[in-house]
Amino acid sequence: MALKTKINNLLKEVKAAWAICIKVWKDELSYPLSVLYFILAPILWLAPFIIFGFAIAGGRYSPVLEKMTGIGDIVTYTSLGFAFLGFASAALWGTGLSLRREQWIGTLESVLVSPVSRFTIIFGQGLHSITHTGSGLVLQLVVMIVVFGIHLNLWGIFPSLIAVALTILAIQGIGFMICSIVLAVKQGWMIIDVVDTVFWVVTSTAYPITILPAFLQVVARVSPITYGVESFRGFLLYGPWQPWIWQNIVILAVLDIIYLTLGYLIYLKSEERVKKKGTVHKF
Amino acid sequence: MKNETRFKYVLVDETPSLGVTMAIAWKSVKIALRYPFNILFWALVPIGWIMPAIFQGLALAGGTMSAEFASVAGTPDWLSYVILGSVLYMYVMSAVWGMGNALRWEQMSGTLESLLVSPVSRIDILMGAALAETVTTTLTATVQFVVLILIFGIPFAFPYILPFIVILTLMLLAFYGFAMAMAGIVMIFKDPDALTQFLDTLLYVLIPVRYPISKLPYAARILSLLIPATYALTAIRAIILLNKDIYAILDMIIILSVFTLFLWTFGYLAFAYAEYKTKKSGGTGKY
Amino acid sequence: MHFAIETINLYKKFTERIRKFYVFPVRRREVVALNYVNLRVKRGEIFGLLGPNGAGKTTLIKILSTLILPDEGEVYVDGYDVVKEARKVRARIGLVTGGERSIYWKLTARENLLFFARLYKLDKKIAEQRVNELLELMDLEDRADDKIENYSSGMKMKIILAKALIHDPPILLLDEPTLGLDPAFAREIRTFIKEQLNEKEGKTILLTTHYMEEADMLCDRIALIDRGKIIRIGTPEELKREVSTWSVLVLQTAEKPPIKEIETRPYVEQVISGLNNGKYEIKIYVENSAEAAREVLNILNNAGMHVISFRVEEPTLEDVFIKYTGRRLKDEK
Repeated sequence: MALKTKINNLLKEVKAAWAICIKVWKDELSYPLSVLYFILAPILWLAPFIIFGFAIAGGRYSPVLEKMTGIGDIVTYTSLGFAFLGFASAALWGTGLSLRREQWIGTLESVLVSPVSRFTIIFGQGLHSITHTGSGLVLQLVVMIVVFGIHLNLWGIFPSLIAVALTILAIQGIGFMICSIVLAVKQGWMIIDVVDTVFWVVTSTAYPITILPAFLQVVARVSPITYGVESFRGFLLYGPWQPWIWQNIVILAVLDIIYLTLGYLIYLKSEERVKKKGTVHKF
Repeated sequence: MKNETRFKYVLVDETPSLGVTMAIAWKSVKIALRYPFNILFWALVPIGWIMPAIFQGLALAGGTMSAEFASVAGTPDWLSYVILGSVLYMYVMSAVWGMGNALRWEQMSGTLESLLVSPVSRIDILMGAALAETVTTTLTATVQFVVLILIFGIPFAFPYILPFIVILTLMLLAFYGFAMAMAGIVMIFKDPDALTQFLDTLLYVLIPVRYPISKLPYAARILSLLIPATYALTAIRAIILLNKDIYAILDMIIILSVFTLFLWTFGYLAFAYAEYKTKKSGGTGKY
Repeated sequence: MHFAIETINLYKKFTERIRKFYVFPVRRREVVALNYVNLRVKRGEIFGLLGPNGAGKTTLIKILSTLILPDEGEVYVDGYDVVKEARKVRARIGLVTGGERSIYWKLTARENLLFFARLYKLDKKIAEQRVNELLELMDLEDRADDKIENYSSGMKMKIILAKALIHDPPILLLDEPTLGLDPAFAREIRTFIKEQLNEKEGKTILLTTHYMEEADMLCDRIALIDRGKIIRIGTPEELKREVSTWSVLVLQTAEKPPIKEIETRPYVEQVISGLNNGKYEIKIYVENSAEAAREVLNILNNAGMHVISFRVEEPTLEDVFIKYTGRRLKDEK
């Protein structure tokens, strides 16, 4: 009986989160320009890296890149890396930004006292980000396959989704930590920009992390996105049977547990503090 | 009364006054300086945005020089090329959005109507905002430039400082014209997030930030030639990286001047029209 | 001799766009903000626009201050057309609108005032002198170099008034000048407006308010405005005289009173009812209070209703508004 109510409650939460996701989609799609941007953005973000790569290597093949990563084709390496980072970054923003957006509109306080749990709201926004960039990712890959003829290992598609899912989980944990800071500190939104920029630099999208200076390599090694992007690219290029890829997946799973626990604890702590001090609205 | 005739009346403007422009600019700079953390933030975080391009270059070329790059850009030194391009790009962006953002800020804080009701030329309001933005951006761009030079130890030479300033000023002036139209769009659409992101991303691909436009597909190259920043960036690189003198970039100066003239006329009219539209819809005070 | 402010058949409507999901078309809703308004404000008078929220008061003020263009009709401020001679109008008005946010909170009071003085092209010397004068007038010299964000609401309003006065305009447009102020400060501001600005400096003042006490105390003449229409114009005394033969019966009952039945009785002009602290409160506007009271109490008695309280009141300005619109000034919720 108790289990049944629990499942019912969970279902209710999921439904509410889904409703929020749909609402954000509708808001977004009600402007023609944002529809256009949605379609073109992933390609426009990728373009400078591809064109710059061509300019510097004199074509799409770079022997230096091949020596470092085993992949010499700039387009294949970069487009897969980019697709993944765009996705991961959106998941981070979906969580971190959802609170920032509410704060901005000035409704944060009403959200915090409303019957809908804030986790539902955060997950709803996150769900939107994931479906949004998920479709962007597919679009991007299709363009890459059609225009540049990159070859993917079809058997790797399913396991690559595991990499995606595990990365998103870890990012939710990081997202909760960021939310805690945003809640507690004036101008906390700056943290989101900083964290996003750091991920942007240390993720092996267009270059392997071995090219980074030593201190950035340390950051890269504790970032879940690093293992996510390596296994994503690995699965899609070499299929599901490479042991080194599964090694990355295991590390990712461990990071999941660490970040989710840490994120949840820190979030609870800061929310309690904020409610006690009653400073939510002062932004 | 017909609408066209009434637009004529809105178009009538006060005489611009340098004193008022300076007062508006100084006020904005003063307010900006009261958020010192913001300035530092905007100086340092964008450096992170430039980094991926640099690391990518290192991973593809195996060093800071590339013979293939030299064949299209005229210099093998892609690192200096990218750093210069990226810092200038941020400069361009601040010129494009500075006015609009300033107006939006006034609108959000509730002071826009106080400005619009005073007997001040709209040129003063817009240029005051632009000037303030230029001061703060010059500050952040200089910090970025110095930090990047320190990190990578590139010896930038400024053998011809005067043509550099001339080109930079012309580029800003041309973009101020465009910015007036953008400020109009901000006034009407309030929060045109999708539009600004779209234009930013598109400009980044089209203007020669990381690579010369000869590497672009044909259609994109044509578009690129319609943007003044393309000429400004090419000219500035010619001076600094290729050690050309002012005679070598005379054609760029002329093209930029024509752009400036055209964009100012267009931008001024577009902004006045936007003002007319918001005055009709009553949207000056709402946000 | 022209009027300080004159509007002839002023009409303004706004179109609201309601955006739906992309596949659905945009729907439009039209709201008439000003419905052929005719007003004449004489020089040197305090003229009040009294009406509930959304009556069109703010739209009118914004048209007078050139921030909104009228759709139809003619509007003159100090004899100048607000559309064709907007520049001249701007130099002749001081505007207070948009609440306490219309100055820069990150700047000090002095910095704010000096900035606006520059916008009105005052010489540096003259500007400084004028700012000192105004700060003294507002009794804020000792706080002049504090940032506005540290001011109380009342002090902010004083600086906003000072800002509107910086170029010594002959006409002041004040949109809800005491909104959100505590009663003591509101009284101070009202006295300042009446004694200093109007009586001493002779300025023409148009102000909007939805506080009838404010309109009653301050204004030489009042226009009652509702849904974009001017209902009545007159001095407070004239307006009150229109309801002077009225009395107001105020009753509280525990159950819902039979309003329909009360309305049909002789002597009864208007009935307004609502819930107040869980009790039903009805206000009955009547010609002959003694007769009407007997009738009404009879009806309630016959219906077996329990009357909690009963009193007779003198009519106020608000009752004039009620007489013509059947609604109160403050939103009922």
